[in-house]
Amino acid sequence: MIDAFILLFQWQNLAFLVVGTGLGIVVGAIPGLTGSMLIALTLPLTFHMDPVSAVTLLIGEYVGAISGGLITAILLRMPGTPASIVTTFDGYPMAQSDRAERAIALGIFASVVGGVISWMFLAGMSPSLAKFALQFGPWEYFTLVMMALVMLAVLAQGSLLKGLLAAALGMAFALPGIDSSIGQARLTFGSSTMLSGFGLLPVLIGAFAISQVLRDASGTNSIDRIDVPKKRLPVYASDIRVHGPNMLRSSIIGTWIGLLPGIGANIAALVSYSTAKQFSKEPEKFGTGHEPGVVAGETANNASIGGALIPLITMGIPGSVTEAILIGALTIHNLQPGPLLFQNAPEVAYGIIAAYLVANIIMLVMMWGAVRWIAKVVQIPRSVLLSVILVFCVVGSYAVNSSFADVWVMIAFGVIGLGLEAVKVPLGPFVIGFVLSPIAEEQLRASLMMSDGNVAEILGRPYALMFLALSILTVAWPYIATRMSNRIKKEA
Amino acid sequence: MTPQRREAFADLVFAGLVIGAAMILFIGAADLPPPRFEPMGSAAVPKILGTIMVLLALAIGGRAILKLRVLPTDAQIVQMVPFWRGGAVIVSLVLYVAALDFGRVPFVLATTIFITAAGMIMGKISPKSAGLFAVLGICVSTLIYFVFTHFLFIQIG
Repeated sequence: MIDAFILLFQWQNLAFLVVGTGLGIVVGAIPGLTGSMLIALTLPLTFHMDPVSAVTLLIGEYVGAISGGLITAILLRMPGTPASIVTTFDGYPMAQSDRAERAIALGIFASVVGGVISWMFLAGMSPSLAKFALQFGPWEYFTLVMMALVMLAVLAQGSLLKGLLAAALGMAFALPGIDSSIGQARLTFGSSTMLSGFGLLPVLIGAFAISQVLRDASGTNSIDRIDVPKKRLPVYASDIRVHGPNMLRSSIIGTWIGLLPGIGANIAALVSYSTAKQFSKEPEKFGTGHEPGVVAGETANNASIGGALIPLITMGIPGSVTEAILIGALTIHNLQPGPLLFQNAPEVAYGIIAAYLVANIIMLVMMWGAVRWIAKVVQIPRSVLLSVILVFCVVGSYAVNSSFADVWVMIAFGVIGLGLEAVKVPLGPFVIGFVLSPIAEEQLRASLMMSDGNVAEILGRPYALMFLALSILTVAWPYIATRMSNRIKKEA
Repeated sequence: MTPQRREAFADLVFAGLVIGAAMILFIGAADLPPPRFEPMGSAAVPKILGTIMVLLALAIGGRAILKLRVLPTDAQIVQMVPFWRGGAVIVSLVLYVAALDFGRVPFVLATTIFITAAGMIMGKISPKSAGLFAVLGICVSTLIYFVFTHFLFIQIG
C-alpha cells in the first residue's frame, strides 16, 4: 500500500488525479452532465497512458463528479448527479433561508468524511464485506429495492398516496423497450425509436433541470436571488460531536449499499437520509432545511464509491454503469479485475485504493477553495444562467447517444415534471422509481425463476424478510406514531 | 374558486390522467405473449403497476371528490401566476431543437439565436439586452462546439 502511495505521488499521476478530480467536480456540478458520461468520454484518452495514470484519472473523475453535484443541488435545486437528489431536499431550503454557505460547507465536509471512512473499509475490510454482500440473492435485492422506493415515497414531502403514485408512475415509464429477460419488445406500440426505451439521463435532466428552468422562467418561484458564499464556509469543531454519529452511520450505510451491485450512490443517500430521519428527535424538520439531511445524503453518496470499488477490484463485479466503464478501462490495459489483480498488477489494485483516498483530499481542497467561484453562477442574472443551462441540457442529452430522440424525451419529461409538481406530486420518487424499475423487475423475475414461482420461498430468506418488514413498517409507521401519540395525549 | 377547490380539481384531473396511463399499460400488456420460460412473463409487471396506479388514482380522486363536496364554493378570485414566460421558453426550446434536428441549422448559429431569444423572454426585452445575449450565445456555443468536437469527439447537430 505504501508503494502505491509513493507511485501515486509521482508528478504525472498526481497531475492526472488533480485534473480528473477538477473535471469531475465541474461536470458533476453541471446538471445534465454526469460522471459516467465524463468517464466514458475520457476512456479513449487513456488508451496510451500507463494503467496507474489511467485509473488515477478515472477515479479522480468519479469522486469529483459525485461530490460536485452538491453545489447545484444546494444552490439551484438541480442535482448535478442522481447521487445528489437527496441533497436538494434540505440543501435547497437551507440556501433559500440564507444558509447556503453552511449547507455547502457541511456537504463538502460530510463528503470527505464519508469518503475517508469508506476508504478504511475499502482498504481494510474489503474481502470480508464483499463476501457478506455476495450472500444476497435476487429476493434480497428485490426487497431492498422495494424498501428504498417505499422509504422515498414515505419521506417525500406531502401526501403518502402521491409519493407512492409518483414511484409507480416512474416505474411505468421505465417499462417500454426491449424486455432484457426474453429479448422481446414491450410497450413500444410499433415504434422503433421506443425499442431502447426512455434513457435515464434525458429523463433525469427533463424531470429535474428542465422543469426547474420552466418553473423559474414562469415566475412561480419566488426566489430570484440566492446569496453566494461570501464569508468563510462555516464548519465548527462542534460539528463532529453534533453530526459525528450521523456521519458514521451514513458512511457505513453508504459503504454497505455501495457494495451491492446495481443499487448505487443515489439509493445510499436516500436510505441514509431516511435512516437519519427515523433516528432524529426532530423528524418533522427534514425537508425544510435541516442540517442532518444534507450530512446524511452527502456522507453516504461519497461513501458508496468506496463500497462500490470493493466488489469491483476484489471480484470484478460492477455496481453501476460507472464501475462497468472502469472495468472496461482495466480490460483495455489487459488487466482482469478480480482477486488475481492483487497478484498480477498490485500497483493498479492498490493504486485504485490509494487514488480513492487522495482524490477525496484533493476534492476537499478544490471545492473548499473554488466553491465560491462555482457558486457565483447564481449571481449571474437568472435569465443568463437559465438560458445557458438549457443549452447544456440539450447538449448533455444529445451527447449520450448522439441522438435528438433523447433531446425530445428530455423536453417531454420536463413538461411532465412541471405538471407533476403543479399537482404536488414529488419528483424524487418518480425519478427513483424510473431508475429502480428495471432492477426490481429483473430481481423479482430471477427470484421467481429460482423458486419455480413459489413466493413463499421468501419466508426462508431472513435478510429479504427483514427488508420487507422494514418496508411495511416504514409505510405503517406514520399511522402507528399518530395513534400512539393520540393515545398518550388521551391518557395524559 | 378557492385555492383548496382548485387543488381538489387538479387532483381529480391528475387521477383521471393516471387512470388513462394505466389503461395504456393494460392495452400494451394485452399484446404481450404469455410466460414461456419463466413464471412471470413480460406482461406481469405492466399489469401489476397498472393496477397499483388505478388503485392509488382512485384513492386520490375519491379524496378530491370528498373535498369538493365539503369545501365552500364561494367565488373568491385567486391570483393566477402568469405562465407566459414559461410557455414561451418551452416554445423557443422546441423550435431550437427542431432547427438542430430537422432543419440541420449549424449549432453555433442555432444556439446563439436560442440564447438570445430565451434570455430576452426570461429577462428584459431591449436592444441592449439582445446584444448582450447574442454575445453570450456566440461565446457559449463556440466554446461548447470546440470542446465537444475537439476533445470529446461528438459532432453536435
